[in-house]
This record gives sequence, structure tokens and C-alpha cells, in this order.
Amino acid sequence: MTEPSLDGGADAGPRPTVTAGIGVALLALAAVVLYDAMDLAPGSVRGVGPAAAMRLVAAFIGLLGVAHLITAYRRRRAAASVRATVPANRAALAWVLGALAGLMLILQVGGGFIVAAAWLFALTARSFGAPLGIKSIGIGAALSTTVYLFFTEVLSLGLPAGPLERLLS
Amino acid sequence: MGEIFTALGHGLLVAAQPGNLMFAAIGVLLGTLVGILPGISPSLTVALLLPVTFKLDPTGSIIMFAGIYFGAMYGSSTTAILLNTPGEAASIATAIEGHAMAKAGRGGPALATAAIGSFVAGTLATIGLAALAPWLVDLAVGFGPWDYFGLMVVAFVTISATFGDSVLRGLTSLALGLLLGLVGIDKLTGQARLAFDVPTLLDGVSITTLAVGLFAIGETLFVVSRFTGVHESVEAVRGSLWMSLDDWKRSWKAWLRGAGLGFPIGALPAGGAEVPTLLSYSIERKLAKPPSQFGKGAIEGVAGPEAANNAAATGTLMPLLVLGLPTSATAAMLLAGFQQYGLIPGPLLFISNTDLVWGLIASFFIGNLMLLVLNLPLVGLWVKLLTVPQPWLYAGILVFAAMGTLAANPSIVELLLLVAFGIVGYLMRCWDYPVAPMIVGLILGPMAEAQFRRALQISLGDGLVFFKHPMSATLLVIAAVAIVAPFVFKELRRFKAEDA
Repeated sequence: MTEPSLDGGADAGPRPTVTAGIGVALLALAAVVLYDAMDLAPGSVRGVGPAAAMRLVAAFIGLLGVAHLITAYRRRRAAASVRATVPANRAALAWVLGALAGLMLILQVGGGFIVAAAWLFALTARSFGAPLGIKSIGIGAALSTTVYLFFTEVLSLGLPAGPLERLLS
Repeated sequence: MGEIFTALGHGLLVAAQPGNLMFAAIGVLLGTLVGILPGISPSLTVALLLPVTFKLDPTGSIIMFAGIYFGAMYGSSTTAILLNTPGEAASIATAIEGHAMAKAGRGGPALATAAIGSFVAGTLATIGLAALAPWLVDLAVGFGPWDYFGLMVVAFVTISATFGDSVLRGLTSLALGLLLGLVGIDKLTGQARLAFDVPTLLDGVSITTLAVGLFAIGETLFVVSRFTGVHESVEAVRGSLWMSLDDWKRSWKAWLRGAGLGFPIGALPAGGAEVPTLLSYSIERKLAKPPSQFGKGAIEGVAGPEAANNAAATGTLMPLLVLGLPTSATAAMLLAGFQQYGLIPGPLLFISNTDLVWGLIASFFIGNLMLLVLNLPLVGLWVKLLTVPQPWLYAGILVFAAMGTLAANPSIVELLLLVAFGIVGYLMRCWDYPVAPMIVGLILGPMAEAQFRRALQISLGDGLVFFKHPMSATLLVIAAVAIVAPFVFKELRRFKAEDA
């Protein structure tokens, strides 16, 4: 546990370059909010309109962006003594992101929930080291079919249907 | 006083209806399950269940949500003791002494003192809640919009700045949540804000999508990015499950002290259950005779924090029910649960939905009893769950995340938002930004804006209205103090860090 400070503690938080990047991103975000607020009609005679809160939040975010930049500047020399970070397992991350992208793609082309969720399951399991094979696809398909049937039959709620789902109902 | 007993008795009748008993049982079972499993938090579980329970009875569903909250508190102590990985932040203290006890072959008594202590503290805190809530309701009826706005500002500050590691990162997370809260059609004027002509965004950002994205997708990405193929070892429960007479003697005072710390701190908007558990651990360590046992498996170090953690969980429900003010991520999800049925927690709910409120409070007694009965005899079964292989666990979490989002809104844009929030959640985990302030900001931001505008409407646009009323002025001063407090309390935290 680190002691709190505006600089974000001694050894916690991102590196100065990242902090500066976040600061710039926050300033850009504040600008977008301000820009969007310009199009709004002013509120009623009494009180404030819908743009007031947006300006308030934009100012808040802008202030935080500046604070990030100041923090990054103050800690620029600490960059050399950054704690040893664990290198991210990029291959595993790519498997999960691929699983999520595939989920959206299958649903978009009308493949239905069962196929899409089985894909998601098998590829996520792969990212955690389970071989991509009959076992993971089988468990995924069983789980997604159970979920689909529970939703449609027990809860009478809808999930995206494809050819397989139409066969079941 | 008599009124409270009548109300509570009536509530017990509601909670004891077979349907509601079943919901309570499902809730505590699910809660224990997710408390034990790594990677699933109670707030994520409630978020996933929101779309599923949309058509069910409100009283039953909300009883179930509360059961999940309590169940997770019990469950995470099991993981902390046997695996040394606290499932929730509030179990960190338990993991220290509890795991040492388990390694020394005293896992049984550690689990027992955690469960019985949680039961004692949960029951005491529920009594406290039932006794104080009507009194606070009377007080809250007189609150104006400026007072509510002041309260919300205090909550914003305490959640994001006062008890986090970094004021800057906490406030940034809050600001992002407030920003997301602005998205959609303005309820007063019907104008679209930050929707960029995307139809899905006109309805606003769904709390389910944000919570599921941050907690489920973000957490999975974070865990997998640190994945090395090494598995943690589970400490088997050896020896007797029962506490010896000496264990009882050492535990009961710690339970009471823990409950005494947890309930008030949880009830104040002071950032949930983590603070009282660590405080309780420090106090037990100071009082212990001899103190040398601490660090090697002292039962007081499990009994106190576990009691504090459960009492604080109940305490958090006080501002939620009486003022509609969530002070933790889980409380924010519970508030979303109320909102999906068109119910607004606050003093009026005690009048308009007496059955629901008192049924819910009474269900806390029943839920705690169920948890006590469930946890001890079934501990072997729960331990087996810890051995679910990681690939199946996280793959399952992602399938349920997709399910919850699609059930709420079957659109690709919603899924894109989910994945985007997941990536944001992952980056926030990597860079040590807390996610709870973002969730609270999304749900409480629009409420604060509504009170802000109402106050200005009543005052005919006079911005000083917030300082003309003593209560809102005091609250805003408290908020200002709370933002500075972390710098003042450096010493306190350093002292606490030494203990932990």
C-alpha cells in the first residue's frame, strides 16, 4: 500500500510517458464534450440547461488532464528507476481479443448465440492454455445451448437466433 | 421503538414467503459461489442478473441481490483462508492470519470463526439498520435538492479520493463515470448529449454494460495478460472444523469489536468494507495477548476483520436504502437493481413500498442464518470449486458476460461498447486506476445533476443556494475537507501499511 499523494504515490501508477499520454487524452476528451455542448439549446428561463453539467464535467476532466501532465513532468526523472514490470502475455491477450471480435462477427452475419458463444468459449480457453479441440468446443457448445434454452424457455427472454437456434425451437 | 418491531415483524412475514425464501437461498448460494471463485465480483454478478431478472418480482429479485452481496462476503473469506488470495479487497486482512492458520492445520477453526463472526456481526448490523433507518428516514424527508446534491458530492469525494491510493487516479475514474452518465437524451429538455447520432447511445450508457465490461472483460484480459501457466495451491482443510473453548473465548470479543467498527464506517459514505477490516486487524493485533502470535495464525485476526467486513456490508445498505446513495460498486449495482423496477430508494420508499423495504431488511436475518448453515457443513464442496481449471472458469465468465449484455440489448453496438469498456478496464488495472468510482459516477452522476438543476430552478438560478442552507453548506465543506484529508492522514496510512 502506498501513501496517497497527488503524484500518485511513490511507486504505483503508470510511467511518466503514459501519464502524459493520459493527460493529453483527457484534454482531448474535455474538448469533445465542450464541442458537443455547443449544439445544445439553452435551458429554460429558470435554472440551468442540459449544457451546464457538460461544461462542468468538461472543466473537471480538463483539470485532471492538466494535473496528469504536471505529474508526468514532475516525475520525468523517475523514469529510469521504474519498478520491474511483468511483461504482458501478448499472445494470450490476442487470443481473447480475437475471441471477442469473432463473437461480434458471427452475430453480425446471423450465426446465432450458440455458435458465437461456443467460439468465444473455445478461444478464451485457448488463451489460458487449454488446447483448441473437441473438449473445449464441446463444453462451450453445451454451456451456450443451456444458456440459450434457459433464456428462451424458462425466462422467455430473447437472445440472437441463427440457424441452430431456429432448429431448437 | 414499538413501531420498528411491528415493521420488522411484518417484514419477516414478507421475507418468509416461500418465493422470497427461495430467492434469498439462490442469492446466498450464488453469492458464496462468486465470492469463492476468483475473477467474479458480487457487483459483476448483480450486473449480469439485472437483465435476467427484469421480468421477475421486484421484492424477490432485490432480496436475491442482497443475498449475493452477503454471500460473497462469506465466500471470499474461504478463498482467503485456504488459497491466500482474497476474493474481495475486504478479505485482505483475513488472508494474512487465516492462511497462516490453514497452513498450521487450523483451517477448520479459521473458517468457523469467520462464518460465525460474520453471522454475529451481520445480525447485529441488521438490528442497527432496522433501529436507525426509520429515524434517518424522518430526518431525510426534510432534505431539499441542495442537501441531496451536497450528500452526493460527499459520496463522490469519499469514494474516489479519500480512501484510494491516489487522489488523482480516483478522481479521473470518477470523471470518466460522470462523463458516461451524461450520454443520452436529457430528461428535462429531450436533447441528445454526446450521442453522436448513434441510436444505442440515445438511451444512455447501460450500467450493466459498463460493469460487465470493466469487471468481466477487463479482469479476464488482465489475468490472461499475466498468465504464465502456473497454478496456485489450495490448502486442504485438516483437523477439526470446530472451534475449541479457547477459540471461542478469543473470538467473541473480536467479533463484537469488528461489528462495532464495521457498521458505522459502512453506514457513513466512507468507501465500503475495506477500511474497517484493516482497522479491525490493527486493533486486534494491538490488543492481543501475547501479540507474538500475529502473523503466525492468530484467530483474533480472522474473527475481527471478518465481522467488520460483514457489518460494513450491511452498513452500506443504510445510505442506499434511506438516501438512495450508493457508497460502493456493489451498492451502485443494487441501486441499478431498484431502478430497473422503477423504484427509487430514499425516504419515500419506506412509505410507498413498506413491504419491500422491511421484507428486504428482514431477509438479511434469514440470509445470514442460511449462510451460517450453508457454509460450515458444505465447506468441502466449496473447496472443490477452487479447483475449477482457469481456462473453463474465464471462458465461462466471458460467455456469461456476452449473455448479460445481449439479453439487455441485442445489438452489435452494445457489444462494441462492452469490449471497449473491457479494454478501458484492462488499462485501468494495468495503470492502477480504481474502477469503482467510475461505476458510482455513472449511476450517481445523473442523479446529482437532476438535484443540482432542481435546486437552481427552485432558487431561480441563484448559484449560492447550496451555501444558504446550513446542511448543504456543511456537506460541501465536508467534501472539500475529505479531498484534502488523504494528504493529512498520510501518517495514519503509513502506520496501517506497517501492520498490513
